[in-house]
Amino acid sequence: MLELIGIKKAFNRGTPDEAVLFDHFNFSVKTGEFVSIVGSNGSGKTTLLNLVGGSVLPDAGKVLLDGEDITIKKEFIRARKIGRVFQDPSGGTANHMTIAENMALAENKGKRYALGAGLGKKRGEYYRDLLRPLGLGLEDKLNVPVGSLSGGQRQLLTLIIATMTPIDLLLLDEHTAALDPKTAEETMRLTDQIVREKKITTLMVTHNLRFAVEYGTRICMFDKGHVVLDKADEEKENIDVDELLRIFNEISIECGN
Amino acid sequence: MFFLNQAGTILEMGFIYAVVALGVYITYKILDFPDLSVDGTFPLGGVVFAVLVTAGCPWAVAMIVSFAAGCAAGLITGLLHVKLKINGLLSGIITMTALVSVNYLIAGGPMVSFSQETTMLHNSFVNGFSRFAANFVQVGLTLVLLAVCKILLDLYLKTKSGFLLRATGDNPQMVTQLGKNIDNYKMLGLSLANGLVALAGSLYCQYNTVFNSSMGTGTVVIALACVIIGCVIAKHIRIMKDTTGVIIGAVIYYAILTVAMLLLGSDYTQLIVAVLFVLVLIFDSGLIGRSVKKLFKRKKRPDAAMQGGEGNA
Repeated sequence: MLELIGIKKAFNRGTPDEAVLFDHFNFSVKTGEFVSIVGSNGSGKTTLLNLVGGSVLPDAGKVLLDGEDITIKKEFIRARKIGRVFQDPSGGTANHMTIAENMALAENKGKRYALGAGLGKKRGEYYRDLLRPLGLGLEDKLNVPVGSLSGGQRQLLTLIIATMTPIDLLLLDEHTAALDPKTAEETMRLTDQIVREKKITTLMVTHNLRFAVEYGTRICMFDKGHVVLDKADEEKENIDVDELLRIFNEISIECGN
Repeated sequence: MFFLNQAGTILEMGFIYAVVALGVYITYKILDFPDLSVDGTFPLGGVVFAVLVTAGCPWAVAMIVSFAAGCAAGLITGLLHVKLKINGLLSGIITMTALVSVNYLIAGGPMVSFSQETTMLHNSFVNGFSRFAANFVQVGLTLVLLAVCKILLDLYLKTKSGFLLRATGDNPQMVTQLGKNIDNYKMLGLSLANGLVALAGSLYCQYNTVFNSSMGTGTVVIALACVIIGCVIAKHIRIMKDTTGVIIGAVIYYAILTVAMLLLGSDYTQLIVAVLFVLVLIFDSGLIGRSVKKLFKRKKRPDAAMQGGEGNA
């Protein structure tokens, strides 16, 4: 479903600081997979998401989504099939707009944004139904600006918003990293629930090794632009955090970190 | 009588600049875009109106064309910014500078007078009143147009398209995630804003029955001051919309400006405009409030010390 073929990506090209991250990098994700990606800083995890999402373009190679070549497609066009949640909780919502307005905007994704009423009259109940399972009381705050919510509340809302319309692929970019441990746990649980319910193919970058082990159907470890560990399904079941940490440390020692 | 006349002028100018401020509200508050093209599009609206009316065009048509001309100029600022990737502030300055010549060329000179033509503010209906009452009839007519602009803007901001415009200024990344090109919405906002500004420019010229090429100077600063005052007011009164606040802000601003000009003389106009803007900005940042509090605290201490001293004596 998602394929990256022969990707080459270097930063600071043409300067003495040129750093080649990906060189003939290949990666593919099957429909319905929930891939957790771990790796140290600079290993290329986030760049991978950016290449798929479209905020970074490769120097060479191809990105295919559902067999369609999206390598040079603009970010906003790809976004029609891809949902994305960022590390920054304010990254996915309009903070001066209310919860209901944000949800109305998200609900209309893929359709025209013309001169019809922005806020449908009878949608309030539907929005409340979506928010109630979060258990945060957001369903009673539909007319509150999103900016007045806490980071955790906003991130859960972002997750709901990103998956309100049918998408082919969900990109989670360290989406629990800025949250406190309890909220991170809650966010992760909800992520898993939504991904299972809607059967969305998902790519999740995380620094939390436990989340990577506990959730998802496949785990990948990146190092300097290479996939150094790739286990799916039953193979993944046999991996635990200690094992992962051991491999992680080995790589880090090799790098001299 | 003098004061009533002045009050009429304040309301008239306040309402005209409120239309400008509604436009600047779109760029400054909604899009978060520092648009300086306003200094050029305000006189653009005026000159387009003046030339058309002088040529025999009905005033209503001339005003619509003025609005369209402003939209086009705003679109140019937008194109410079999103297509040529020029910094927003610079895009506005470029358009503003170019418009100085454009306006002069359209006018064919520094001034266009049309005191004999029928316009929205000067016609047989208005002239039917005494000079004193006519002043307030003009105010009323301007208020009607202002109200139409405000209501249409309020309604637009509640549509799906309006939601997306607000989100563009709030969080461009979110708009991208919704599969929409933020560039288009920036251009739309800039067009709409400068259209309103140009419409206000045509009103300003109608009021004075003359286009003067220097009428644009300081428009941005005046409008920004109105918007900032208005948003502070609207923030403190929960049920008040920002757009309502902006209109009240414009009237308050013009009242202060008029009083200052009466005291100092019109030579000081631009200086007063600049100083008022500084005052509005530090008022908005809360600096004044804090300084006043500090001042009171400092004053209290010597008082207390003095009282203590007296007690001892």
